[in-house]
Amino acid sequence: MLFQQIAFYVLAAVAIGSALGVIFFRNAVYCMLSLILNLLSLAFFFLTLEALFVATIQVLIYAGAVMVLFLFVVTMLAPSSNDDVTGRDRLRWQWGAGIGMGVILAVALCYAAFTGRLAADVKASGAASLAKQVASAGNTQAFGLALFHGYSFPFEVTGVLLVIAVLGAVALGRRSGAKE
Amino acid sequence: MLNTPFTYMPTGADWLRILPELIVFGAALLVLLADLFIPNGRKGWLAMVCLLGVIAALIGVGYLLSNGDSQTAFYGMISDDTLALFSDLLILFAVGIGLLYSPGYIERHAVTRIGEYYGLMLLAALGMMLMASATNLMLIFVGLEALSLSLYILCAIELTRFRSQEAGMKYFILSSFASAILLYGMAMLYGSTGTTSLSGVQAFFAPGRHPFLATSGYGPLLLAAMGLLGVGFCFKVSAIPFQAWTPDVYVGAPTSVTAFMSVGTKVAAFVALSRVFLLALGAQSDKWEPVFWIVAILTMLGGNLMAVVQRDVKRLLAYSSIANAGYMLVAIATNTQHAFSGLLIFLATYTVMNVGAFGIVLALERNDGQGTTLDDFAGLAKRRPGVAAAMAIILFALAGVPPSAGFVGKYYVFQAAIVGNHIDLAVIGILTSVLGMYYYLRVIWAMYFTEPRNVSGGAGAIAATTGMAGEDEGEPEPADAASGASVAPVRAGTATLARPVTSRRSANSRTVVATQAPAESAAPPLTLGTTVALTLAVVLTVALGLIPGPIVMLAEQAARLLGQ
Repeated sequence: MLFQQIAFYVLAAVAIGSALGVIFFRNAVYCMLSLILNLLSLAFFFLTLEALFVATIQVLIYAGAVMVLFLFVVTMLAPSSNDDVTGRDRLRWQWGAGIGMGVILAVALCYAAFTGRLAADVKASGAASLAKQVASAGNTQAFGLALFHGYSFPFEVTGVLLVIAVLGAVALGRRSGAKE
Repeated sequence: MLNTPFTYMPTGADWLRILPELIVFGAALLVLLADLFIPNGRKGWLAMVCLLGVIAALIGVGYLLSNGDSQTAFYGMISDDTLALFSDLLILFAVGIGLLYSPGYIERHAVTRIGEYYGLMLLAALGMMLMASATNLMLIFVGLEALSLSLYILCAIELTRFRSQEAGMKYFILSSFASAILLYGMAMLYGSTGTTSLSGVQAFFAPGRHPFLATSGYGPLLLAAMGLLGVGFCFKVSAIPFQAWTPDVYVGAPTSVTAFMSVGTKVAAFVALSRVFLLALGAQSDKWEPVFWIVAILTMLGGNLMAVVQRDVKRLLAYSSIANAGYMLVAIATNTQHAFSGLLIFLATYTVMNVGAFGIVLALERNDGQGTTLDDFAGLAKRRPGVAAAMAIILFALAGVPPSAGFVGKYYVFQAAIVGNHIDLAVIGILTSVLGMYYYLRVIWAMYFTEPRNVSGGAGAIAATTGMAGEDEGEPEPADAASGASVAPVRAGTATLARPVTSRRSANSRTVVATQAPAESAAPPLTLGTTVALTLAVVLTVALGLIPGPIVMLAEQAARLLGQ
């Protein structure tokens, strides 16, 4: 248990630090790199929760494929580190308002988290059947069975989303020649 | 339940229950294929294919309504209950009218991706129908994404008009952010209840199910879930304070798309919101009702107040749609079965009126997207009496004058609010409706009781008003307008306004229409499709006001879901 706790705090520090790095680095490539670190630490979180499959997917898809795509685009556009893209002058009052609202939200969430309780006996509900399935068949198999049986319909509708995305890429990305 | 998510197999009956959605999807694919074989210049046929698909889907809805078994399908993912079919009807009506408008709009504007345009219209409608019929958080989200993605692209589909690109980009960035917040809320709701199915969530909060939790409270996770879900939905229905995107997107998007999206998104989002909050989280209503109470008041007040100062009618309608979202939120905050049927009636009447109102804007809009300010409406009754009369009827209805659809919708919502012990909301709603009358009637006044201004009338006055309209876009240019107005040729009969369309603004906004603008100071005559669509909208606006019986019955049947 102690090991788990130490792992949690180390990972939490890395995750929060890298998330802040994504926002505060001036160089876009550094932002991308700290986003990779953030996603990797999330993968380790999933590992500590014994969600092996989700952790693998997290590394493969997010830290892998998606981030490579991001890096490609960022390096292709080649921003120089002294490009000031923040435009802070015009948005100064928004900074104040944003920080104020953020503090209020954080205080409210902390208040709720420390005075209320997390729902403890959730296991009585639908999550129980999932836990049972995972225990008997293992992570990946349970995920696959749920995806292709009970959740097959939303999964199929995701295909419609892909059609729409392709249409959008064609409609907005293709050069129209005469009209440009 | 006999089947677990790990062994469930879909059956033929499952597919039958999503018949309208299947037809719309099939029609969308058909249009995309047909686009390859139909030569340029005859793309109007694609609209015909789309319309046939919509009509077939309407027949499918009618079949399911008469069938009336109201079952869920695909492991409780989607339902064909009356609520779903009712919203399908409204969405199909809206997309049908939008499609009727489209050929006329495409002909005059810089839409070059015609096949994709029609396909995406249908796919957006499909997303809305899925979202409104979904009984599982997963499908609500996938449907929402389908409709949002399609609409981002449709907003930006005029590749050479700057405002259209701006609208698409703004909508994309802000709306994706809101989608992420909504998804976060769904994840937390799953975390606190252990299920993504709405009936499962409802059962989790059923009295006696978890006695320990019920007495000690469900903890912060659930509160955070409800907060995030509320923010996400409020953004999608453009409630204040999440409304900032609405005017720019509604004005920048192609008008035929605006007419469809302004109602379709509202129907889908409000129905999904009702399913999540009124139905699944109904037992927790003491926590979310006050939030919607505040949001409803803010939206009614803010939407109407901001609409009052608008000088562009298209923008005015965008703010009026925010105000109308406020009236609908009154029904959510009231949270009774009666109020829910009121919400559905309001949605139906709002759909009919709003597609009509944007249709008029489309009919008067010039090729460069200008020509919709109050000054352009001046004296419209003399120039185009038919269009002016249609606009007057629709505006009277939007204002809520008694024998019209708008009155029926407001009556049911406010009456339910009073019965449901929310007299405060009803009073604010009625007062703000009176405020709304001011700006709706001002347009009517402009059409019937003012003369169109011309050059000799005084360039100074025109310069002043143009400057005011220009402020809205952040680039007032009175000097330019004044100098242009003094030299602009006035064409007898078609001189809508002496304001020059060749102003610097069109050059500024990087459009190519500047090349054709000088020759097009007047809006062209209505196409057949636009005429049919406008007639349909006006007739239904009147009919829903005179004989609201059938739609009220259907809405009450749909709202019975809450009583179960």
